[in-house]
Amino acid sequence: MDPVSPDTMPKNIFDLPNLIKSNLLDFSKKVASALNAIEADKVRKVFLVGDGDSFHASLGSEMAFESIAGIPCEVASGQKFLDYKSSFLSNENIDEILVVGISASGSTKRVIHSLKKVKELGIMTMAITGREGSVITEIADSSIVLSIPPFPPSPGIRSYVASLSGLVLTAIHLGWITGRCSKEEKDELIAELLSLSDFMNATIGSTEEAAKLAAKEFKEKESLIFIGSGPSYGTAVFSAAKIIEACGVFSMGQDLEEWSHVEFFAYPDDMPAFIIAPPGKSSWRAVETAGMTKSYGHPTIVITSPGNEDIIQYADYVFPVQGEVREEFSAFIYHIGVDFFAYYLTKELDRYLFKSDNRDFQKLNEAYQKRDRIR
Amino acid sequence: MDKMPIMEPSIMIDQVESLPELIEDHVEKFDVEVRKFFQKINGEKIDHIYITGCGDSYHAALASEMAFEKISKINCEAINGLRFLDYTSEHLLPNSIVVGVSASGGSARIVEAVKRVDRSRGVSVSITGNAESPIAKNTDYVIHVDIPFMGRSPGVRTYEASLLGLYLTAIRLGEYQGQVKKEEASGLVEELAGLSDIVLKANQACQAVSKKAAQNFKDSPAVLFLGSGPNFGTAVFSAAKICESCGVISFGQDLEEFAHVEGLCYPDDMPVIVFAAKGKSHWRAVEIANYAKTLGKRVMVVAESDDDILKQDFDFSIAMPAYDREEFSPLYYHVISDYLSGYLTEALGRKLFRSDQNRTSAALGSNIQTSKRKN
Repeated sequence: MDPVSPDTMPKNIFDLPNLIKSNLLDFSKKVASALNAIEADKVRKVFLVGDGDSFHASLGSEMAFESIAGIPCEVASGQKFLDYKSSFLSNENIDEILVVGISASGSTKRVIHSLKKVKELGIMTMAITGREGSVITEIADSSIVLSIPPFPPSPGIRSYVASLSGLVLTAIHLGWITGRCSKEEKDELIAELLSLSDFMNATIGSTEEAAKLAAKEFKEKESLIFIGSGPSYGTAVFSAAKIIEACGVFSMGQDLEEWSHVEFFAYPDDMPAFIIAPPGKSSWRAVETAGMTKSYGHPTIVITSPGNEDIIQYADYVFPVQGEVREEFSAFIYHIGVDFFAYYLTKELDRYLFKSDNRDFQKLNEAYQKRDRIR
Repeated sequence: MDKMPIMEPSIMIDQVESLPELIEDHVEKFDVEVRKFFQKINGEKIDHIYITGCGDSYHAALASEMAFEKISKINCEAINGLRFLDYTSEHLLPNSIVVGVSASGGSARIVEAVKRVDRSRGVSVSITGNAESPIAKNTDYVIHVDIPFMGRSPGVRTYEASLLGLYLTAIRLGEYQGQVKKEEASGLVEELAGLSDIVLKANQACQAVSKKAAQNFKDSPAVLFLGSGPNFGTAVFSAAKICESCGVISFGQDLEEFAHVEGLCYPDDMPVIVFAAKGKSHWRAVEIANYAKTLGKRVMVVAESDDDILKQDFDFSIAMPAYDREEFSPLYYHVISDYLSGYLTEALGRKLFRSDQNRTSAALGSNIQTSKRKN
């Protein structure tokens, strides 16, 4: 891999509103078509299986399956599902289970093997991928191929939003197919998703400067923590991954409650804490957590709607998210400020994405990754 | 405000060295409690298990998922307390058991979570060390797993007690479901009691190496623990012990996810501890340990004494006693982390829970017992 400049990241971020505006309705048709190809009306339990960003997108969309589709949903990384979860599914009502494998490249080994394994048990499988004709599409009973025009290499941001789109649209369509919501409600939800394009645009405008200033201030920090619950736990782990992929700074994503039990004790006391706080079910705990991080001297960066003064009072920085976004859709938009932060931090540190300027690391890593892919 | 007494790191060593006796003295006693529970619910249909907890209790839940699925052959989900309270509790599958785990019985989130269980969807049972606690008073049933108090410490004995309670519940649930015959169930209980000897040998295997490793790792700003299946629970528990003991930021991660994300992290020589128990993901643990080593990480491998991985050249290797049942392996795989936490705290000249700094509950602190859900 040649050294990859971080300047590809803003291009990816700025394209997000267009990605949604130009593709969402087409994605929706593909989802409908994919669900028509299987016995979707029988689905009473969904497993979402993915690695890396695909795993994070699954965590970010779990709530949509449960509250919109009314279908219990379980998320597992590829390893966990392949080696553990799938081994015990044969005693379940297998006709009622749908396993969705998510892989932007279409070649993530563990996810592919997971789908193969459960297919042998007679369980319905579906793939969400960005690549037509990829290995995962050959394995799954049904595929949703969400192709987006290629951009220069970057930590997955557009592909993440595409995966989220596929997942949340699947939840919406399943809700309609199983009778949980009417056609009108389904169409309203899809229109609401489409309106995120405008909110993304506005959020890009409102977060970039704050992210730039925060990156300047925090460039000396050796570790960062991102904290959220529900779909925002998915956003938290995704955010941590973007920092690591962009500039290698140690970052972790954690649940709001778990932080109080564990990382509450962690040094350094000036470790920046990013609290992801959309309006929603756990926003009360986000407020409490921000109060604690602030009281212990952690620079506190709050990612929330502009009017949320309960939490903003504790913030050293605010990444304001524009628009009224229901919590089930919050993962689409609450990462944007951190994407900018990852970019600006990489610039401040004078680094390249994916450690791509580190030739020794790249040699070792490429040899390993080549061995680990199907193709 | 309550002020915690200063807690020396040697407390961790005392805790872990008391584990063999704890197991020997309590398996039968806890089994009586568990059998009483199943006698009381006789006739209830059970199709699904949820286990919820915070901190160590959540880690114990993660570490016991496989035992439930393999022995009782029904789907089991380990969910942290806030997620269960605010998201999952509204979408429980019918015919469920919800197990709330809290050693103290006073963890605010779990108490609120178990109150949410709709009796028409299932029954709730607490696994707790305090039969008079808030959680015990708010579940339909109680499995009392009390152990002699050895003084305040990052949870080691209480974690072991929770694990035993959960594994015994998995065994007796298997019997209740007709998946395991009475004799086989009794055999598994005896096997659990016999793990007392395995834990003793594990302690002997770990102590000297962990002391050396602590001296080696003390300069690192972060430590990573990797495992899959039940030992993903061990990985997150281990990270928590490091945080609680000496405040070094630590992260527990799935084996596969490391390859997608944390492999790119600085520092290049970050200590990485890989749990490579015999079992379903052992093959991947070997690959990932080698990958981490190739990338320049300081790798400690924890595997069984007859495992070929121990012949390879890692920075540290722990030869655990050989044992064939992966689902119970967390009972002893965590001892390396307990020792490491104690010795690392000593090497850094720190005190457990930052107890020399008044960063404790009630004083400014984490409000895990007093926090109340709003809205």
